[in-house]
Amino acid sequence: MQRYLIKRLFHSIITLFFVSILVFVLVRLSGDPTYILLSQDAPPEAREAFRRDWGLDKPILYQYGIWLIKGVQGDFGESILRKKPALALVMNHLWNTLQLVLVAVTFAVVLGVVVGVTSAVNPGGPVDWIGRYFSLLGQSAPTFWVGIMLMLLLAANWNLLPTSGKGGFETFLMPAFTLGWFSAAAVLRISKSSMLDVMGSEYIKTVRAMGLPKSLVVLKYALKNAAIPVVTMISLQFIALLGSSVIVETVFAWPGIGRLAVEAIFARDFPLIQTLTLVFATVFIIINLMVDILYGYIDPRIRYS
Amino acid sequence: MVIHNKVKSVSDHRYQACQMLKAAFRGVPLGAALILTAVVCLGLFGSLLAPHPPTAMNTQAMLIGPFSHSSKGFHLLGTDQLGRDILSRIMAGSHVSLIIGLSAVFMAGSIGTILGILAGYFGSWVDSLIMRITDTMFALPVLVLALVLAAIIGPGFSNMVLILGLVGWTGYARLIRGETLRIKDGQFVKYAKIAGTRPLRILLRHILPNVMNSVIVMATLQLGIMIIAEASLTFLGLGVQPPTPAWGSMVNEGRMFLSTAWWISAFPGLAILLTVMSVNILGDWIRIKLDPKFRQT
Repeated sequence: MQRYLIKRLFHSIITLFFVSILVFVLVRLSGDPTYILLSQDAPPEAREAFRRDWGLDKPILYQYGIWLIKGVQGDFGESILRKKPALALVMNHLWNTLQLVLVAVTFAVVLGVVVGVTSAVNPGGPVDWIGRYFSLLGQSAPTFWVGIMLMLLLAANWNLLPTSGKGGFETFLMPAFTLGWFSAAAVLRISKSSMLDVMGSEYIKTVRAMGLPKSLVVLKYALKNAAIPVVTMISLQFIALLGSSVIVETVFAWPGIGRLAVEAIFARDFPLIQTLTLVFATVFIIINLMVDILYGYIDPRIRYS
Repeated sequence: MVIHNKVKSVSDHRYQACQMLKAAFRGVPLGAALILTAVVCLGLFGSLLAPHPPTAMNTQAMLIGPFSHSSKGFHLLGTDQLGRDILSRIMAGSHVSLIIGLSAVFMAGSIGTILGILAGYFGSWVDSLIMRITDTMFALPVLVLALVLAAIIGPGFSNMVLILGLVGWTGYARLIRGETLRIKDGQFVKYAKIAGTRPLRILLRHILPNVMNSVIVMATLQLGIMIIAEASLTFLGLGVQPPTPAWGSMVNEGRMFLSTAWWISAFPGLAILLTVMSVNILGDWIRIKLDPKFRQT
């Protein structure tokens, strides 16, 4: 286990290194920030001075070296747009996004697993029927449109919920539902099919034949064995939600890293984009690692070599 | 007599072909097939069928609701802030979603399949290199990567295909690499090698046909996602640019008029929903047909 973890950690660091190179090169290909942040008719000297101030006049390899050395020490430079340290800025926004994603994932998991397991235990029942349409719609509706339609109905027409921004719990409801619907559908489908597999297996038939009540069989014997694909799906969804937070945060004016990313990319804010993607990648890698460790607890047959 | 037999055998063949066709389409979800056929027809002839020119503005009839008339005629789904007919714009916009979606899936599938086969078949450093690239791409949110690429290559129709193709291939690469590893150990590949078949021929004649089913299954899963991804990028303003009508940008334009003219955002989004839903339903059907696990029945 320990050796496995060290190996994984080593792989993660390499991946992060590659991510940093990829993004560093990509953002520098994406255009000249002086044309976006300075006025159109700024004199060439002003552009030169701007590039010198932000270190953009040096060769790219030199720029990367400087950035890497400083980055290892925890200094990711200053956001050109907001004039604040990039890392602190990203961390502030990261917490807002994580809160939203956690609420959305909780919603998706609770709803997906409960409805999925119920439909697998009683196939063809009303829950199965509703669940089928819920998941079909959830996997087909574009997130940004769902958000706008919710805003239209619940906020603009009926005045039930605040339109946008982050505040108390009621401000979480619409963005979290919008963000979580797709994932709820995915979790529902996988937990249903996984549960159907387990319910059809020999050992479940045996305990059923021995006369144990259905609810006990489901709760005690079936659930844990059906959990592995579901856990994989949840981790995938957690990652997918962090990605689609870009859309939901833009629609609901949520002060998170998704919206910050859109802002930074539009403004060619190089230090901010670099820090953001590195933080995204780190979070992704941590989640994947946590899931791998979790497997060992759910299924003792899985041993790490 | 001979002639009679021949005629009979021709009609027999025809009968068999008919039966095979019937079997191929058995259980096809009709509603979804109909909607998708309609969307494809719109994609091909949308701008011809549209009741109004999709980019024609009409200052006399701005923001009028569904089922209303203007000097230019009847507007089934209303008009937008510039007096353009929403229905016509949706019809004209369908080819953006369809063509970008299909081409992006084709591109992502091709890149991913080629790299996956190469990684699986050759192993060693080729495998390590391709898998490190895949890991790197997996560690970044698809949309953020697409946004950065859009900022580099610029917005527009063919660039969207390129961007979505470049961010969408990693899933195929992982899947096909695994498949190739499995197939590579098969007897027929070993015999082909012993017979002196060149690697390229082995890849094309022995490996590729055997992974095609998985590629198609993955592609059916991805098409809906690609259509939504295109609409999302266009919604954020980095995709297909106005005045070309596209469903994503139409939803975005309607945001400003949400409380007064809900139809501007609502109907294009509904078009995306219906299209993607039909794609998903038909995809499920194709998947069950192709997946050997379900094929017993």
